[in-house]
Amino acid sequence: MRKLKQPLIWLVAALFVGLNVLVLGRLLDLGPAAPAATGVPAAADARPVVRVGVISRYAPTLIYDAYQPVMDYLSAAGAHRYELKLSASYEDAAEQLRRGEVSASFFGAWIYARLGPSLGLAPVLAPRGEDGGASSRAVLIAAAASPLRSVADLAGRRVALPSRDSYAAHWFAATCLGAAGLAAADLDSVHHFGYHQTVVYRVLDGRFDAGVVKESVAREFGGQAIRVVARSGPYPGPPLVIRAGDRSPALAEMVELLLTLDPADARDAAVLRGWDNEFSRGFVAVDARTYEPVVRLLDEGGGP
Amino acid sequence: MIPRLPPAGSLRTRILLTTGATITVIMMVVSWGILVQWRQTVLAKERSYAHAVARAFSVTALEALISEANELAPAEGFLDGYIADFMRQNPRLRFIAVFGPDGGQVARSVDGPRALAAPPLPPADAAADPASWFRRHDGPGWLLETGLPLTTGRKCWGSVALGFEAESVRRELSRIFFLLLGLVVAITGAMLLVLWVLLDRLLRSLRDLVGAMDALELAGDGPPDLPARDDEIGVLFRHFQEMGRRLGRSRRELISAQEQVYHAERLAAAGRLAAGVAHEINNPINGVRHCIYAIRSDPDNREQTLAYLQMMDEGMEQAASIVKKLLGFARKQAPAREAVDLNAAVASVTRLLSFDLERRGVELRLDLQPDLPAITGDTQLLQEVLMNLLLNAADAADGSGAVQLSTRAGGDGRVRIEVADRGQGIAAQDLPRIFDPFFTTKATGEGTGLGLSISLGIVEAHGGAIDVVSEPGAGTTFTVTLPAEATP
Repeated sequence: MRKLKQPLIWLVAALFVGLNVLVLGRLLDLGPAAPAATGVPAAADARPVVRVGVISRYAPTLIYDAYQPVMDYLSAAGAHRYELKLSASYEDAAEQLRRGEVSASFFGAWIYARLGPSLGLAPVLAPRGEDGGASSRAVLIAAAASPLRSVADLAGRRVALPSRDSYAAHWFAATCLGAAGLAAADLDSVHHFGYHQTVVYRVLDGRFDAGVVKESVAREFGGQAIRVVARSGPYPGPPLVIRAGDRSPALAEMVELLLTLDPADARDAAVLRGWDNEFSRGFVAVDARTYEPVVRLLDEGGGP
Repeated sequence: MIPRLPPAGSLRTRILLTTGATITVIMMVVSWGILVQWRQTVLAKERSYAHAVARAFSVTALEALISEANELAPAEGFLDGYIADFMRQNPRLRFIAVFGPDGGQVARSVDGPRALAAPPLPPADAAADPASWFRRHDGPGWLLETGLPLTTGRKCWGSVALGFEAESVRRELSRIFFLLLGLVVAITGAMLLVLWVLLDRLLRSLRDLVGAMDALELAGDGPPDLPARDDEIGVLFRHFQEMGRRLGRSRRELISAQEQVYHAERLAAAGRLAAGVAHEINNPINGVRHCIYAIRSDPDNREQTLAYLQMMDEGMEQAASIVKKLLGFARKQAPAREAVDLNAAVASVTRLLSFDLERRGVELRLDLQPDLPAITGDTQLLQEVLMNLLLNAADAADGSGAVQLSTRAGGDGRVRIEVADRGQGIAAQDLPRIFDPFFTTKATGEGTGLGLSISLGIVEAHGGAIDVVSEPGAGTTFTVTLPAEATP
C-alpha cells in the first residue's frame, strides 16, 4: 500500500492538472456550438386562403398586432387560412372588397355609411357593446389635472381628433360642440390623427387640451391620467363588411366563428382577452338597417 | 546518534506540500466557480445586448416586410438603407440578414472591412424565441449571432439574423482568467510564505526542546533551562521541565529503595549464617567454660591457670572475629575500591559456611588457582556474591553430594569463579528469569528471590558478568567473570 501511495498521488495530481486544462480551455471557449441553420421554413399551409381587409390608418405592425389574433383564431378554428390584407385608404379597402381581392373588410361605421351602400357592400357583424348590441360611443377626454370640466370650457383650447372618416370626429363637430353652444371657430386649433391611441398620447403629453376617441380606447387608458369630459350617445360600432349577397362558405364560416364567441365562456373569454379591446365582448350580427341612422346623419351633411 | 530533526521529508516539507496543494486546489476550485459565474454573467449580458439590438432592428424590418406583402411598399431600397444605417450606428455589428417566411434571403448587409464575407444563414426555427450563439469564423473570429423570428400573432413574416463581434468578449474572459490565475499564485505563495515563517518558529522551538531532552541528566542538577514563552510551546517546555524534576525525584527514591533492598538481603543472608555462626561461637565458649571449670578445680595451679587463661583469650578472640565478620555482612556500607584477593574472599566465606554445609551433608570442594591476580573492587560485596552462589548451590545439592568452587585466571585479563553443584538443576522455562528480582523456586519463607538479582547487579557494577549453565537432573554451574582491574 505504501508503494502505491506515491504513484497514486502523482496520478491524482496529473488528473487534477488535466481536468484544469480541460475545464479552463472549455471556459475560455465561447461555445456552445451554433445550432444547425437549415433555413427550411415551416410546412406550408395548403388550405384555401380567405383575405380580410383592414385599413392601414397607422403603422402596419400595430394593425397586425390588433387584427392578426383574430385571423389566428379563425385559421385555427376554421377550415380556411385567414390572412389580413392592408389597404392604404378606405377607398382602396372598399375597392378591394368590391373587386373580390378580399372576402371581407373591417370598416368604421362612418366610412361604411359613406361608401358601403353605393358600392353594394353589406355589414354582417360588429363588436358587441356595453348594452349587448352593436353600439359604441365616443368620448371627449382631457388630462386628469386639466381645468376642463365641460365642453363649454373648450373655447380657445386645442383639440385632437381621430380620422375625419370616423364617427367620433363627426360626433364632436356635429353634436358635441353645438350642444355646448360652441363652433369649430371657437377653438384654438383642431388636429386629426389617424389612430385613436395617438389622440390620447397627445392629450397626455399636453400638446392638446382635449381629445375625442372611441370609448373602448379611453378604457385602455383607464388607469392613466385621463378623464372623460363628455360622452356621446350610442351609435353602431365598426362593422365587418362583405359584398352584398356573398354567400361563400368561407364567409359563412368566418361569421359563424366570430358570432359564436361568448365572453361568458371561459375558453372564449381567454381567446378574446388577447384581442383588441374593442372586440373584448365578442360580436353581434348587424345588417344595413343597423347603420341607417349613421347614413342619415351623413346625408344630412354633418361632419367634421 | 539520533539526529535532532530529519533533514529531508521533514514535518516542515510535508506541511508545506500538503498545505500548498490544499490551498492550490481550493483556490483553483474557487477560481473555477468565479470564472464560470463571471463567464455566464458576461455571456448573458452579451446575449441580452444582442437580443435588444435585434429586437430594435426587427421592428422596422417587420414593418418593411408587412408593407411589402401588402403592397404598401415604402421607398425603394428602404430595407437596404435601413440595414446600412443600422450597421453604422452599431460598430460591433458584423452582419445583418433578413429572411422571408420561406427562408429566402430578402436583404443583407453589404460586405465590408468589418462585415462578414460569407452569407449568413437564417435561424433554424424561425418560429422559436430569439436565440443566440457564438460561432468562430475564419476571418473575423468569434461572432455572437442572434436569430429573431418576425411574427405578428401566429403569422411568421420571416426572420432576422444579426452578427456581433465577440472577440472582445473572448479577450475579457481571458483577462479574467489570467487575473484569477495571478491571484491564485499570489495568494498561495503568500500563504506558504507565512506558513514557512510560522513553521520555522515552531521547529526552532522543537529543536530547543530536543536539545534540552538530549542534555537532560537524571543524576544532574535538574532539567536544563528553556526560554520562557506564553504560548503552547511554552506550556510544553514547562511540562518537560516538570517531568525532568519528577524523574530526578523518582531516581533518588529508587536508589534509596535499592539500598534498603540490599541491606535487607544482607540481613537475610546473615540470618541464614546464624546457625553456623552459633556453632563457631559455641566452640570457643565451650572451651572457655571448660577452662573456667579446670581453673576452679585447681585454682592453686598457677601454671595451669595461666595456660587456661591463654586458651580462654584465644577462644574469645576467635568468637570476636566471627561476630565481626557477621556484622560485616549485616552492616550497610558504601562500596569500597580496593584490591581484592578472591581466593582469600572464598576462604573467608567458606569458613562461615563450613558448619552449615557439613550439617546438610554437602561436601565443598575448592579448586583455587594459587597465583590468582587480584581485582579492584569491594570485598564485602564480592563476598556477598560468593555467599549467595554457595548457599544456592548448597540448597540445590542438599543431600546429594558436593559443591565445586574453583577460581581461574583467563588469558583475556579476566578472572573466573565457578560454582557448580550436582543438584536437580533449573527448569528450562525458569532459566531466563532466575536473575529477575523476587523470582524464586523455593517454598514461601525460604527465599526472597533477590539473591541472584543483587549478585548480578554487584558483578555488573564491577564490570563483570554471570553466566549460568544448567541441565535438569545433572546440576547447575554459575560462572562469575570479573576484569582483573574491575572497579565498582
